[in-house]
Amino acid sequence: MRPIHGVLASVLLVAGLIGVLAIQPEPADLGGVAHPRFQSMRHGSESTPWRGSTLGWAWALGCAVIIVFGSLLHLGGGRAAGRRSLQLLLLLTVVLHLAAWTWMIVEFRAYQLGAFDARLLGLPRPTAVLLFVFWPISLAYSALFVAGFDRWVLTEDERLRFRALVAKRREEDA
Amino acid sequence: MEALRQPIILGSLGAYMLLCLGVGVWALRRTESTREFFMAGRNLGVIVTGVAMFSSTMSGFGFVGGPGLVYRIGLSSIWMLVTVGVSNAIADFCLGKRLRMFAELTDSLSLPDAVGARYGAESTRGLTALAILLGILGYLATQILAMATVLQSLLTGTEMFAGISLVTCVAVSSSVLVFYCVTGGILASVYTDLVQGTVMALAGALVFVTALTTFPGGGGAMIDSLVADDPASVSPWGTLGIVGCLSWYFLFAVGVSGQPHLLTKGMMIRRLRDYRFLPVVAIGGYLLTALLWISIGLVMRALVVSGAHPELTRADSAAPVFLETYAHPLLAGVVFAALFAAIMSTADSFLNIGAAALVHDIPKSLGRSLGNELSRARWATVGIALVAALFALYSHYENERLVALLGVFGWSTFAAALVPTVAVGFNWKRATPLAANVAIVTSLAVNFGIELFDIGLPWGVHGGMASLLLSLTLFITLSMASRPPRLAPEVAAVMDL
Repeated sequence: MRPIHGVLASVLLVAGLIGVLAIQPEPADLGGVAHPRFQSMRHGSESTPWRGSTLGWAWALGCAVIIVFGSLLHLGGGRAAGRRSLQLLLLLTVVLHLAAWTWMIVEFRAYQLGAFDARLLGLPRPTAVLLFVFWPISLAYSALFVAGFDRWVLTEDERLRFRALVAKRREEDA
Repeated sequence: MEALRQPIILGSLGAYMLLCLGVGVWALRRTESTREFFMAGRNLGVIVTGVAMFSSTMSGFGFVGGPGLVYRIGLSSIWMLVTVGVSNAIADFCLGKRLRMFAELTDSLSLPDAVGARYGAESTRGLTALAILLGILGYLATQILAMATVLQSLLTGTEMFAGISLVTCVAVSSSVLVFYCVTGGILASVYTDLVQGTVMALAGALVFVTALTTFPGGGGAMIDSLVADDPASVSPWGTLGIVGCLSWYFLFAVGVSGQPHLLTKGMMIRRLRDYRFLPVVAIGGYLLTALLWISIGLVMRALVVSGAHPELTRADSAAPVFLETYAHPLLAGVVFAALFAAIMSTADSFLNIGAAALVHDIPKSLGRSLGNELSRARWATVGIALVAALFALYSHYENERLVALLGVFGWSTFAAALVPTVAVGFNWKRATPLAANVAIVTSLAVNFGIELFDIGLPWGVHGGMASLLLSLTLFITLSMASRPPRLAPEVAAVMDL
């Protein structure tokens, strides 16, 4: 499968999941309610609307969004033979990203059902997973760019080929 | 020291504005051609480019709207911030090297120039320029209005300027902005961005420390207080819910690759290999600045729900109230200067790419060249700022919805219109100009329609996400259904690298 097919498939997957959500009855208090004491704030719903199949579809949508990121990085990362190790590392990062997302959803499920006092590094557990696991893993994509720049992004051979192209163009312009 | 709070804040602002004017004068001597005015001679170092990129991303919204959102809906808006690793990676892998190569090979002066060269189609160049021009007007108007409103609120606290009008504040703040943009073009813009970004990152770090120590009992007690009031507020989704947050995550992560003011700055970097460390500077600065966004919002919400501070009249006043009440006067001075820096660093980028669209890209797409582009670019900068300032004032006094309406042509329109054409199209030889044109026009129509007719999407899905999904799908499927385009040999060669 070519990278562009991966981009199209993942984009259609996200669109399809939104479509699936759209045909399901939407809980009225899904996006929170007015705060009972302060007009300038919103308040989370007391009815824990994110549970059961609703939470399942939201998890699937999050996975699809991460897969879109992976497919775009696959497209931009190139497919030349020397870049196979980059593609493998990108795939590994996507898998870790998906695992962190799943962990956060599992922690959130327990949290919204009443595990408010369970803390990790001083924060509610799902929030700690977001800040200390999910977010750092997503920084690994950029770390790959920095660490492997000479090997995967711009090799010496490519740099020289580009210089030759520019020189040829300047000659033609002159 | 407390008695000197107002003079310190105004003094910081005055010093900052003088610095901007000084950079404008300095850059004037170094800007003698359109290539220097629009592209800084493609001679920027990695630190200048990286700081300019993150400071343009974090507009006044990050300093006022961001903390206001956290105060109002809890941690939901953190999903705009946690995109930073993915968004930079997508932009860097898909575009960094390639766009810079196109810029050098074809001597591009703007993003639409590079798009025109890639697709070999003037219509695609013209539509890209048009989308940019439409997008920046609303964005710029909101920035000018925010700058003038903050200035007015600061000056009315003094005896001398107690009765100062909003129109005067618009004139003063816009004049400084226009002065350095007209004299020094993008060179003045990126070097003021360097100052602005440094001030913003410093302010972010200092405010974070102050905010954590402001709540009685520290950070742990603050979280306890927030959980006791509303557990959802400090959950990963805040009160907005999962799907709404996910649509922000998608839009902001993918959408960065369609923001013309950022992509244009990437085209100005001196050497291709400098790209390597660009994400380090851009992400590092952004993370420091983001600390202010989250910490002020959380601490103000905690102070209010615990009864330690009266309820705010508006969520957007969270940052100004925090600074006026809890921050040391010197810190408040730095942060107010940083707020102006955040607004100006975004606005100056828009003025420059808007001028390029008006005097270079649109005429070129129509087969015309205006001649003496440098002089015209300076006049265009003044003209665009004037139109945006008038929009801002008209909106403030007559029709509040106007700027909001044009504002949607900002981030999400750039994302939906330009991500397929640029981020995908520069990595896929099969992409056709027709598909790019359809994607741009459709995304403009869909974004505008969603806002104009106030269409709410189910489950809190953001309209920008829907239009980005649609434009990506149309772009890829139409290209696949069309005959493969014939690429110029040098375009094909660059795309092979």
